[in-house]
Amino acid sequence: MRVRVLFFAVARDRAGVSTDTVEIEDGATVAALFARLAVMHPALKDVLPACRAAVDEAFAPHATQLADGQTVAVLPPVSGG
Amino acid sequence: MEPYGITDQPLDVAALSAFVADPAAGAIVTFLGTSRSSSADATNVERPVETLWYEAYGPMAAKRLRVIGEEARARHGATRVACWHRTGEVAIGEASVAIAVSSPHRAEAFACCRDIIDEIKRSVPIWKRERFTDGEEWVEGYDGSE
Repeated sequence: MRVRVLFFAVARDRAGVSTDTVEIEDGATVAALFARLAVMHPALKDVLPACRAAVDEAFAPHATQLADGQTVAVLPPVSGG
Repeated sequence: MEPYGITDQPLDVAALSAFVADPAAGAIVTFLGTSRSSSADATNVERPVETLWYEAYGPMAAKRLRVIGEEARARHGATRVACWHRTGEVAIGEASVAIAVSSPHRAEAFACCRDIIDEIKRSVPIWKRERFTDGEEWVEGYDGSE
C-alpha cells in the first residue's frame, strides 16, 4: 500500500522535503512507518522519537494500523499559542 | 464570521468579542497571546528575539481549535467561544492567538478561556520559530507526554 507523509517544522528541515509518498506493507502501523522514515531520511532519526503522528488530520497512537491512501503527518512537539 | 480558524492576517480581538456577545451572557473574557521580545535558551539565558514565525498544519489545526473550544464551552457552560491562531511572521508585541468566551457569569468565562489556551499549547499542530541576532531555531514544545 501507499501512504502520503507530511513533515512539519524541524521534521521538514531534517527530511529536506515537506511531503513524501511511502510504499509500505499492508496493515503497517504508524510505528513501522516511522522506522521506515528514519531509514529513508537518516537526519530525521533523532527527532522522530519526540514526534506525534496524525492520520488524516487526527492524532493517532503509534500502534494505529494504516490503510492505503491515508495521509500521515509527522508532528514535532507543538509550540503554538 | 467563522468562530475558529487559522489566518496569516493580524488578529481582530474586537471582532471575536463581538461574535461571542450574547444577551444571555453577563461576561466576556478575551485572551491574547502576544509575541515576546526575548526567549530563554537551553541554559535559561534570555536572548533577544528579532522576529517570530508560526507554521501550522492548517486543516488539522483549525479542526483542533474547534474541538478544543466547543469541548471547553460545554464543560464550563459557557455561552459562545471564538478562537483564531495566526501563522507566518508575527511582529514583536502582536497577537499570535486570540480567544473570546462569553458566559452567564465571569467565573466560567475565565476558566473556559484558560482551559482553551492551555489545551492549544498541548494539542494544536502549530510550531513557533524564533530568529535571534545570531541565528534562528524552532521552539521546543509539548510532545504529548504527561
